Amino acid sequence: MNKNQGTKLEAKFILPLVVFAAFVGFAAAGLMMGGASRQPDEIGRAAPELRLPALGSAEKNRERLEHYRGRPILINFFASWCLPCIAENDFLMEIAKERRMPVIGIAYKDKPAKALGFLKRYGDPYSLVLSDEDGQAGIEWGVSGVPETFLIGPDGAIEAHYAGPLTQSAWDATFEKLLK
Amino acid sequence: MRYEARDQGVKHGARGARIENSYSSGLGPHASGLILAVLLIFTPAIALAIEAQEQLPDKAEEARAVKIGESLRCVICPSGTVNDSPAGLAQDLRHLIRKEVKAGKNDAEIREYIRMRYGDYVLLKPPLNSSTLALWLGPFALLIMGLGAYIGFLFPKNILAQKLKSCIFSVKRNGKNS
Repeated sequence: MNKNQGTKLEAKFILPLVVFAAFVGFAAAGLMMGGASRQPDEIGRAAPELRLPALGSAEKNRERLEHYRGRPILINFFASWCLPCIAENDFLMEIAKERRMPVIGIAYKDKPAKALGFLKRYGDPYSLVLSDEDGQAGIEWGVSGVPETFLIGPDGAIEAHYAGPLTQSAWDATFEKLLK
Repeated sequence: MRYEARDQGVKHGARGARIENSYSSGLGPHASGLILAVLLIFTPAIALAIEAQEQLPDKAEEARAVKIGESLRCVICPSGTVNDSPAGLAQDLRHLIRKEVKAGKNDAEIREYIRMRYGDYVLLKPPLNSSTLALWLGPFALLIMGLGAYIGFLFPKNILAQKLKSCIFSVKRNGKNS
C-alpha cells in the first residue's frame, strides 16, 4: 500500500466521523440549553394582565401589574405539588429580602388551601399571591410547568423567563445582568 | 413430536423423505409472533386524548379545533400532538383552541397565539427562517452525502469518471441525431 492509498483510506473514515461529531455536537447543544427561555418572541412584549383571585379569596384581585410599574418585579409560578418549588423557596425569600424586589407568586393548577399550606410550611416570599387554578393564566404567560419565573421590567415588558428551580447560578446567568 | 416438528420446521421421515410443515418457512418457530410484532410496531397509534366533554357542539368548529391541535406539538410529551397527549398542559391548550375557535379567531391567529408563548418548537411544521434553516435542509444534505458516499463506494473514481463521460457522450449523440 503506497502513501496515496493510505491518504484516501483516511479521508473515507474521517469524513463520516466528522459529520457524526458535528451532529452529536448539535444534539448536545440542544439538550444542554438549560432553563432559560426558548421563546425569544416573548421577550420584550408587554406582560399579560393578571386578573386572578388572591389566594384564599374568590374576589378578583384588583391589583394589577400597573401598580408595580416603574420598578422591576418577579412573577413566580409555583405549586404545592411541585418538589423543585420547595428547593427554590429559600432563594426566593433571599431575593425578596436582600433585593427588596416584589415577588408575585401564582399558585398554578393548585387547590388554594394546599397552596396556602405550602407557604405556611416552607415560607412565603411573595408580596402578593394569586391563584391560577385552571391554568389558563399560565398559558397566557407561556408556562409549561412549575416552577417558572419571569422578570418584568419597569416598563411592564417581559425581560427574562426562566423555567426550572431558581438558584444562584441560574439567577446570575439569567437575571442579574439585566438588573445592573 | 408436535413440539419437535414446530421447533425444527422441517422433519425428515422414513427413508429420508422431507416432511414439510407449516413451520418450515425458514423464519423459525416464532415467525407468526414476530410478524405480528412488526405489524403492530408500524401501525400508527391513533388514540386521541380528546374527551367527549371537551368537544364543541358544532361539528365544523370541532373539526377545525382538531385540525389545529394536530399541527401543534405537546411540549410536555414532545413525541405527541396536543390532541393525543394526556398531559395537563395539552388539555389546557385544547380548551384554549376551542375557546378561540368559538370566539371567531382563524387557524393562523390561534397557532400564532400559541407559538408566541411556547416558541417555534410547538409547531410541528416550523417556519422557514434563519434559525430553522439547518433543521429544514439538514435531512436533504444528509441524504445527498449518503448517496454520494454510496456511489463513491460502488464505483472507484476512475470508473465513475468513465461512466459519467460515456453518459454525457451518449446524451450529446442522441441530441445531434434527433
